Amino acid sequence: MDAHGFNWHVLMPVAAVAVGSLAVLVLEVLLSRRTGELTPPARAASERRLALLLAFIASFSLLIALVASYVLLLAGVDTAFDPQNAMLRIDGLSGMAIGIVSMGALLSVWLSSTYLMALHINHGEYYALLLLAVTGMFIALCAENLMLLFMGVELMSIPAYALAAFDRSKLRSNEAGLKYFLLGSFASAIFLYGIALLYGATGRLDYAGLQRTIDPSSTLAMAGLALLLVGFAFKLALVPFHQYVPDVYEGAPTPVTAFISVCVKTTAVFVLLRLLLQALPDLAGLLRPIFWLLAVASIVVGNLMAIVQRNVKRMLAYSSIAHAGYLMLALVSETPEAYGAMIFYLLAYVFMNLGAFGVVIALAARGRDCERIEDFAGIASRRPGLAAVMTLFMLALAGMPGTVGFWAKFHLFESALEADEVALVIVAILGSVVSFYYYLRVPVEMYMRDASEEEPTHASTNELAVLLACAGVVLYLGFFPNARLPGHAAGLLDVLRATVGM
Amino acid sequence: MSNDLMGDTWIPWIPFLPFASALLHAVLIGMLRRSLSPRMVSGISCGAVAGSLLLTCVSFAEMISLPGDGAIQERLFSWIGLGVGSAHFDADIAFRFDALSAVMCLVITGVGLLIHIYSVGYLQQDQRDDRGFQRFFCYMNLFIAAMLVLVLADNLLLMFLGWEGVGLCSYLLIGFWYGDREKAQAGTKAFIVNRIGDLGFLVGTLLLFWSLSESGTPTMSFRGIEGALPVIVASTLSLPAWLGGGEFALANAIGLCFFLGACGKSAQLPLFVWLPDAMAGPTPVSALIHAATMVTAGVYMIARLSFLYAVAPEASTVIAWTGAVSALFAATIACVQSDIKKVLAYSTISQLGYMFLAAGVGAYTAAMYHVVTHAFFKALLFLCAGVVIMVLKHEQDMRRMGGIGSRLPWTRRWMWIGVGTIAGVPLTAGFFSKDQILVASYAAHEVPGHIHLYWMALTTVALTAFYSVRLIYVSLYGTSQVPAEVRREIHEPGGLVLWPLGILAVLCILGSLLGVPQLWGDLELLRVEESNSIHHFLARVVAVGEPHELDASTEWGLTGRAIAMFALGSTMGVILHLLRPAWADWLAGKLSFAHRLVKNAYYVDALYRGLIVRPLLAASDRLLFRWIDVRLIDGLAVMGSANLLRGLTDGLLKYTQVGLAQVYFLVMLLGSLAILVYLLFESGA
Amino acid sequence: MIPYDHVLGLSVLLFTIGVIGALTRRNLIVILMCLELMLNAVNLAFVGFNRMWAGSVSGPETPVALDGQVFALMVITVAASEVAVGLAILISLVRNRDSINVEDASLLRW
Repeated sequence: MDAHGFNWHVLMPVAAVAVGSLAVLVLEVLLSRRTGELTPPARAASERRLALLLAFIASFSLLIALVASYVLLLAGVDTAFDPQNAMLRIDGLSGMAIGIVSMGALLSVWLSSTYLMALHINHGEYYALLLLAVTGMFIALCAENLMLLFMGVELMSIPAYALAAFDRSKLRSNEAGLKYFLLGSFASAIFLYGIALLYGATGRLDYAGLQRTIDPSSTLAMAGLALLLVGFAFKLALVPFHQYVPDVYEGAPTPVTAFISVCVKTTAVFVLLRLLLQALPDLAGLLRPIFWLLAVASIVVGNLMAIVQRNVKRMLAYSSIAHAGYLMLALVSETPEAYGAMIFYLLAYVFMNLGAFGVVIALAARGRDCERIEDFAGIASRRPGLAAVMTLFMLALAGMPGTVGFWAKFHLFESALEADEVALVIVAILGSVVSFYYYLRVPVEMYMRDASEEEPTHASTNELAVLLACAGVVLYLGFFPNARLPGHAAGLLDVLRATVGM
Repeated sequence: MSNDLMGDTWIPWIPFLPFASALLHAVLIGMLRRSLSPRMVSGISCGAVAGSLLLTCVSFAEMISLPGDGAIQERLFSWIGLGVGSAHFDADIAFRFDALSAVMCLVITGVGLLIHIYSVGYLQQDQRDDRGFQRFFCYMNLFIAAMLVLVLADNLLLMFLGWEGVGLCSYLLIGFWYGDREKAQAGTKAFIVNRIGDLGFLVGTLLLFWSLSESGTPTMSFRGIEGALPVIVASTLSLPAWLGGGEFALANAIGLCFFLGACGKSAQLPLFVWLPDAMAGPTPVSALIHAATMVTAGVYMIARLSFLYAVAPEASTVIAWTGAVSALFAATIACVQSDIKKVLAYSTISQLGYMFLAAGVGAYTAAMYHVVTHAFFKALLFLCAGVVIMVLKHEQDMRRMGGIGSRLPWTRRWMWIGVGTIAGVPLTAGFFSKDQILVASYAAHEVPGHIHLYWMALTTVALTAFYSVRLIYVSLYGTSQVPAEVRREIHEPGGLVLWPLGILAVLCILGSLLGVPQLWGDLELLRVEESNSIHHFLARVVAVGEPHELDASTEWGLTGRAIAMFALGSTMGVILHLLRPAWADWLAGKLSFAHRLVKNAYYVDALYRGLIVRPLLAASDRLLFRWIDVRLIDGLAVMGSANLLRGLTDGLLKYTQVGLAQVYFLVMLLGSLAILVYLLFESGA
Repeated sequence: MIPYDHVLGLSVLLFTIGVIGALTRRNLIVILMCLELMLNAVNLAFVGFNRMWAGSVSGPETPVALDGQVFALMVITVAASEVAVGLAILISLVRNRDSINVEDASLLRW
């Protein structure tokens, strides 16, 4: 405890990933120097060992963050640094968010190493950048001050730009990185201008202060708020701020796509949720139509565009836009139940989406991507296990009963119905019906088409472990959506609802 | 309720053991790609089922020792928890071991174990590779587990899980040799027909749930529903005007929906078409799933919901009539089939018809008794038929059998017992259970047309005797159509195949002790301590209506008629197939139209094909063909008019994504301006 | 004393110039500079607003003394690292394709 009564131990998750990223960076520099004088095969082996070591360090620090966040959640910690000039707060919401993000990042790391080696881009910086981005996410998740929020978001985004361009010898990856960077910086500038205008209108940057001083009749404040929302809509990939998403998802290396799609989105949702709950509760009525429109546009455009895609990564990109639209249902309904359902949806999304990308990664053979829908033809006969889990993830993303995707949609739609958002729910249900079409194309291709003559490749153990874990969670939560958390008396859904019951 | 034993029991282990075995096999072959030796596989699988049987017996003893009508209840954990309006709805993973589920569990695990052991011998003869062997036992264990979940479930949702699970296993096992296109199609057919039935189940569940949550007590557990029965009885459904309007008792509507589900699963008219095709599966599968256990799930469900049907007279009448008509209808078809397994399949439909007749006239315990005895004798007959098919190298056509009885001495004996039981030789299990149903339908004054039902059932007795006698004579006796070199090589298979048959045969005879009618029990000669014990045992759980008072002479008269019908049918069988085979051909020639009609199962299949399947296919061919490259993919699309959306997107929406970063800037900027303008105007700033 | 409206006006003008430049120029380096211009407009606004709030006593609530100034410093730092990463991406792109025209980067579309 320091003078302000702040318990520094609660910063354990942030510290773990920050230290982890520095450790990776330093070790990479120190250990790779020595390989200069080795023969090529020995050098390759040594590089491989190094990469595995760095991946291990990265996953270890993420594991610490995960465990620490769970401990925070169990202990029911709610502590803020310097209440006078609020900066960051560790509470149930941030504990839950950090847990979900670190879980997603951990699974992404495990999905990465083999893929990177196959593409010969297994540089240590990858893990350092990823951990730096996670550090930024954690900071943003805990922030209750716009300045810290901005720092966190930028610390998340800048490494993500670099990661998208990580396969630097490939034009598509370059282009993905460039577009992500350009659009992201543009959005950041708009976001930042929003903060500046809000500061000009109220003189405050902390959420509590904003909540007290924000005045709906002030032009400056409303203009600032509008620009702030644009920044969030960009990170959430809501239509019409979504256009970078398909290009970046398609061009970036697949593990990076998986990481961005899961972790960045989760972070953006949680950060927006905290901002709405703590700083803008009085403006709910004003914001609701905006969220409504964004939700409808995202659901419609995301699902329609996904239909015509012939690249699975791009299809998943559009589907992620549609999923962001579903998530907006909760922000429209504005009940604790809806927020709880939204967090459950995010949790489900982490496993469904990482699983789907994981299969794409596991199928990528020796540096040749398996992305086009035609590449999936006849997978079922060569790789029956992978085909089965891919089918599971596709069904889960579509919302098939018996998978977690069903319950995620069910609770979200149910809470929206209780808030009398009937029209929105109808749009969302129609969207999900359409989504069955494009999700099921993948299993149809895998099972019904003849296999192309290729020798089977084998997925590495860590990829299989991730896929099995994701499939297990998808099925387990599909049958027991209110499963009890270990060490916790209440069921998962109840915990989630209680988390946002502030 | 207070007599229940709660918690810490063996009940969850009963379905879990076979499930664990199935899981083990699945992991080994599916993921590790390693198959165990057949000896290990059969040891594990049969051991798991034997363990379940043992635990069932232990739990049975435990339950009997409970005072009154106690049952064993085990709630594992909460499955689904929802707030429904102001009330709270919970569906638990909970098992309830009461008299009804105990009887079913004993049948499933007992008969299941015998068939598992038989399958070991059967498949070894079949020379399949080890992985196929293991896959087979994986599915079989999974089936046993799902069936046990179905009967042990404490609520409708869990029951539905088991219901779908057995359907899935049935589908997998029918198409077990899926290299064979015809067999795969049979599996698909069973799958589709059963979905129609499941729709009924689901709609029934939803209706039930809706009416209960209207009254503020949403529940899915059977006892909860029973407790809320007054609410259901009091509510009515008003039909929409285009259906003629009017009010319709909710209990009837729910009952009919569930009965539709039962029709699908238990292959009753008009949804019976899948069962004869399902005979494409291996013979032990037919014995276990399509005779002894899964197809009786419909009867079990109606017995489980008997409290509901007791207050739904119209639904019960429909059940009784469907049952009686199916019994008669299928029995006529069974008389002229030439495929030995198809005879048994139609016979199963006919016997299931008896059970539904009994359930429809309120004799739920008689229905359950017939479930038990039918499990014994039909499993026995199927397994005997399996031996014959096996020694004749997969010959199923009875016209190419005959004259091999002397080479199969034990099979012949066991088969005679099975035939005697199904035909209704007095004092066998089949005789008593059928007699109870006949008496019940005769006495059921409250069911419209109960005398017609009785006469249909009685006619079926004669037909049953006829076709069962025909079955054994044509396949084992008479002039042999088997090539001499095959006949010389016929050896009766070893013990692993034979002794399950022996045990089943013993059960066929001893099964009569379970349900000796009061009438017979009162005879000095028999000195039965408790007549009709299965009735009294089941009456703890199952609804029992007012006993129908029939004086002893009437009842003896009914029994006499049944025996006479049996004698008539079997004599006809003996005459037409043993003494004067030429007469049978003459008869078939004289009645060629009727013969053809019956032989083709009254053309129901063709009717479905002509009226439903073919128009659908033709329409899709004509309309869709030019749009698509693979029919299946875009068949889905057009149904949801997704093709229209796809065209729109492809033509217009797609071009918004031009790939130029600066266009994206512009779109974002416009979006930001829109939000900005909206907020400024709306907030009144 | 310059009125604060003028500071805000200048900042908006700078921001708009940045946006228009980013929208219309084809050279990636110029676009990068335009993005920097937008960020500098933000800095100007922050510094100006901080002066405004520090100088006023009639605000709804006493603002924290140097928030705006510190934020401007932060933005400068972030902008620098953003440009670093941006230029790195640009260089790898130029290595693979000899062009810094933004319109050439349109491989990924539809």
